[in-house]
Amino acid sequence: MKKGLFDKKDTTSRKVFVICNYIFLGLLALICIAPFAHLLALSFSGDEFTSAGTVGIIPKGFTLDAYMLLAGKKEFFKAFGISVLRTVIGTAFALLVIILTAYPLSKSNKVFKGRTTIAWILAFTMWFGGGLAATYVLYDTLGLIDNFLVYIIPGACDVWFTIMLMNFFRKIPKELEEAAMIDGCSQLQILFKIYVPLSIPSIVTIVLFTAVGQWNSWFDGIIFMNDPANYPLQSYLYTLIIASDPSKMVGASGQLTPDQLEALKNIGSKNLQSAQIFLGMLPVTVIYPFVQKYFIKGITLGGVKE
Amino acid sequence: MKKIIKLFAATVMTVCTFSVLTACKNNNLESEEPDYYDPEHKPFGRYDETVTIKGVMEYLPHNDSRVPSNITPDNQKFISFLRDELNVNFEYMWKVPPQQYENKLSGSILSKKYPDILKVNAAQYQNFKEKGLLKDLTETYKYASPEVLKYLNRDPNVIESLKEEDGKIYGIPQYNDTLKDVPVMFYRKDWLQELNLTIPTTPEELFDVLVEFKTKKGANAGISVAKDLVASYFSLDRYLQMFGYQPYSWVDDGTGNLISSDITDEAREGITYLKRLYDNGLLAKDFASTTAENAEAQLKQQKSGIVFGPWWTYEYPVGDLLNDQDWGAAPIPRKANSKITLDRQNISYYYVVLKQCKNPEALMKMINMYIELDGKEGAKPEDGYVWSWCPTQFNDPNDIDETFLKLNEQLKVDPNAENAAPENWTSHEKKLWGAYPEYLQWAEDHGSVKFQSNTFANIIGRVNEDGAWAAIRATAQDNSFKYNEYYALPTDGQNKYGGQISTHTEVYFAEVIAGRSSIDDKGWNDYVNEWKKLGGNTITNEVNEWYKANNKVGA
Amino acid sequence: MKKAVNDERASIKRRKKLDFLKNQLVWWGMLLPGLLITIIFKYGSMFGVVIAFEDFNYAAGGFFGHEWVGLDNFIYVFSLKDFSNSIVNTLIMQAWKIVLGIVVPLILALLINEVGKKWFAKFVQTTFFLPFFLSWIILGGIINQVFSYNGIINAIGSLFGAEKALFLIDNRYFRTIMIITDVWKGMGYNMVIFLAAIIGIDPSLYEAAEVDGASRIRRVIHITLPGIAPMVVLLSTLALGGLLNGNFDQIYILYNPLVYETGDIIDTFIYRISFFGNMQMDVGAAVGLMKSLISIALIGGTYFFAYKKFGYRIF
Repeated sequence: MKKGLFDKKDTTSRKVFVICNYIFLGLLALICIAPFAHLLALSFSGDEFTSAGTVGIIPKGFTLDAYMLLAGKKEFFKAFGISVLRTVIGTAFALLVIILTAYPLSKSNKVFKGRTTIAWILAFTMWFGGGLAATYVLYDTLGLIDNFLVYIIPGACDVWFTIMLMNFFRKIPKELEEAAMIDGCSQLQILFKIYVPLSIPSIVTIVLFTAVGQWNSWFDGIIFMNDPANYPLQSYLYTLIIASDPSKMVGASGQLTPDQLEALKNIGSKNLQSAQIFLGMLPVTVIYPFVQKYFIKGITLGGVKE
Repeated sequence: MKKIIKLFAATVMTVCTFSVLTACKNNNLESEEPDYYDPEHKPFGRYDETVTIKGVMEYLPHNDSRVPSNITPDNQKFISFLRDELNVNFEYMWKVPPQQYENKLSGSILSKKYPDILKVNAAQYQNFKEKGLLKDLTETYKYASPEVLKYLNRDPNVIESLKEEDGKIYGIPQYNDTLKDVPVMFYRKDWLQELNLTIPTTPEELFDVLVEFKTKKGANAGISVAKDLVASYFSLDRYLQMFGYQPYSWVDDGTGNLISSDITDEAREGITYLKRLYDNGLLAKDFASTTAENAEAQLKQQKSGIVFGPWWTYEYPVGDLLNDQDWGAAPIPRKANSKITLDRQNISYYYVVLKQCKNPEALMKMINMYIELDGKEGAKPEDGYVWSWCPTQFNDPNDIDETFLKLNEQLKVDPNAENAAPENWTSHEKKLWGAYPEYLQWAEDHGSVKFQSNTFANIIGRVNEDGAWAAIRATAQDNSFKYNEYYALPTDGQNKYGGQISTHTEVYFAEVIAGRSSIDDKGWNDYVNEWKKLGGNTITNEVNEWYKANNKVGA
Repeated sequence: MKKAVNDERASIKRRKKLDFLKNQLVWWGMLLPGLLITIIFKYGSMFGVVIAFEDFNYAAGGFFGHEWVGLDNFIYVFSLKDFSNSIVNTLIMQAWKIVLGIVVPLILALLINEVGKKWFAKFVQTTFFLPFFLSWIILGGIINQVFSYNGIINAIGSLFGAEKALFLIDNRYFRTIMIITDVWKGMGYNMVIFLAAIIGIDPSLYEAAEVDGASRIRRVIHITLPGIAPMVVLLSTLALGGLLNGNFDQIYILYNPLVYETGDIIDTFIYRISFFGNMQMDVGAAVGLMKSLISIALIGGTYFFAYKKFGYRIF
């Protein structure tokens, strides 16, 4: 990598390219940050400006009201906590299950009889399901309705990630395993002492995807929980943003009465909404730059392996 | 979803023999004496042993800052009233945002986790009834308190139409005065005066006024309409009523047969008119994606001069704007000889009891309780009472007309509202009466008193002689209604094809207005033929079959 | 002597056999959690497909014992214009998303690789990844605003004299917007992978080329692109599996009846017809079943082709 913007021997056309490149990438970066800036600006703006829709990426009528109000909103913090819990526990559990499933499947058919059959049994579920209603009834029978475990267990054995990790395991040289066997290591030890450390790239990717998926999922909370008090953050935000949009009101009672409208009208105090959304996306965005290092390193290793 | 099924007989029209309900009760409605109560069926009779009733909830957060922050739907005051007064232990099995209600309900019922009481729409009502899920409520009706009984009998035809052939009745309907469906035109009174224009009474006059508003006042969209064809805040149907077209209704074609309004010439005329408005820039360019929120913003930015809305438009979205914009209300303009189409019935939903419930009468007692608690001490938001979270909300179908009559009657003798309101008024009426002196002061100078959106707007809309409700009463005076003649529950065909057909209609109309589909003879005929093909013919036959068999009222 | 050798061979054989058997147990033990979860939760609900062959009404309770109507629901589905629409839409949008989801990050990676300032490269790389973390709930609200009539896109457009457009309700634009926003949301991920692959290319190759006097563009074409080609092929093959899986969250949150024609995907169609006033769960199940069958055929075909042609196997 060079130190300055240009090399001494750069031609004019090269210089034009470099400048354009910087401008283009800079603009694109701006587009990626804009939503965050916009939300942040909304959360600090006065209600009269937010409801008129005139706030861009600079706050208008600066106020901390939204955050003051938010400090007293227990539901928000509870939902936030549930999201953190499901992300941490859900990701950890899923990772364990995926590692344990991928390892035997990475063995050849000679070493593990029936692996191909099982791989197909797993893969089949990627394309074939029983539908929402049947799923609901099943979960109900198993006592998973209104149960935190519904976030953790059913989705834990993601087939896609399992296949990904399985393929990664297969690329690890057999000699390592054989050497460990001679040292008297058990299969479990071999898995966790040799395979897992060597598969960090793949594992980091799985963790990242699973965690983001857990953090962002909203539908399961709404359908499988009986009480909004147990919603994770995204489901909570859903009731706030989408469900309380009067124009999207549908339901058993159809049209709203004026009194219901009155009650609804101000739920969408936009700056409060924005403050909650902003805080909702903060954790992943704050954590990412730190994870990024490992993540890219992991991917790099993967690239070399290719 | 958008298709709100309304089933209902017009209160104003029909006088029938009293239903069995009143007959079997031998009471004096005016009496507040405890001895009124039929000892067998006490409306507020306390259970000796605690009765548990399970319900479900369409959940939305409330936004009343007066309610203490630790209040949840499960511990709110209404629930404790039920426990303390009736010895009823009410539980919500689940709460879910309205959009996922049907989802959750179907899952719950498939899992055989039945609630005891349920609020259902017409389609669900029919479905559940046919599958034998519902309990007969004949006995339950006997527990109605005098007040609830009065409300239920505002239009005795409604209850009568719900009775099965064997006299059984499976639901308690929350219905509405059909006059509430009459659209009202709201206009910028100040602009009209400034430009020396008169209130338009025909679509042509309206067109001219809109052009003036656009050119002189820079209101770049004369009308704001929301994207839905019906049942939304500024849905297109209100404008179409100028030509006598109400979407999704069944009108007599003059030969004793019913025809869907959606394929009539009135519909075509109305849509063509809206297209003309759109072509001339008089309709918001993005009308098809305008939400209530956008519409509100347009009003705020003074980009709309005329809005067709429901009677409560003054309360929302005009509301606070009244402080510096002068909005008037008038009957909607009408094409000569056209009549506004109303439903004969307007049932919002039904309360039902599911078959496994041992105490169906608890439902009626809870409804009694909801009415009884209205505005009572101890049932204020400050006490933790959230009416929108109550499982058995119930309203007088004629509440608005009652308020209009009562307050105007009183104002005749007490024009400045100096004396206290009569005892027997509802809490809402008392609230308006209490705010009236201040309102008068505000109306005087718009400055010395701060505008109170939740009372002043109500007074302007519901009470004033030139308000929205008054405009509806004026519309009603000159024989200006015709009726949607089909008011039975949805037919099999409607259940099966209704969604597809209404999507077809909605999309075609929106496309015509926006200039993306043609409404010339070919375009229109293609639309009609597709409509028929999608199942429209089947439904037409079913509806006519019903009409032939039930046409006892006469056209 | 001979016997001893034989004994030893036999015992080794026996031990190997024992090890083999023991290992089988170990494999099964490890598989147990994942297998149980799959069988209970995925296979456990598959009985739900029976309703595709029934005249199903949930109010009657249970999944079985409704009137058996054979293939009626399927025949009915084929009479619905929305069904064929949804399939076409899914295929078109997914194809574009897959292609652009590879090409755009690839170009970005190449461009970032040309950036000299390290902090800038890092900054850009991090920001490109940000949208990846946002849920569609949040992004949906933002996109609605950006593309609205008075939104920023129209504001910019009108600066250049373009007529204002109604992007999200216009069948001409809806798919494009779905594709662009989806690619935009996910571009950071593949970009990082490509970037890593580029960095992994042996620097001596570039040096040699520079000595030979190869231009920058030639270096990119002859060294960088071949260097990351395996990664491109791998990611493309993986993406193909999702050809019929449109992005439910994205579409569900952003579409409306006016763009059903171009925006409805199979998953939203199933949801729409199963619930929302239609409550035709039997029809929804029929569509779902067909989707599964087409998916399996499609993916089976792709992988068979990949196996025959390139020797690529998924497992």
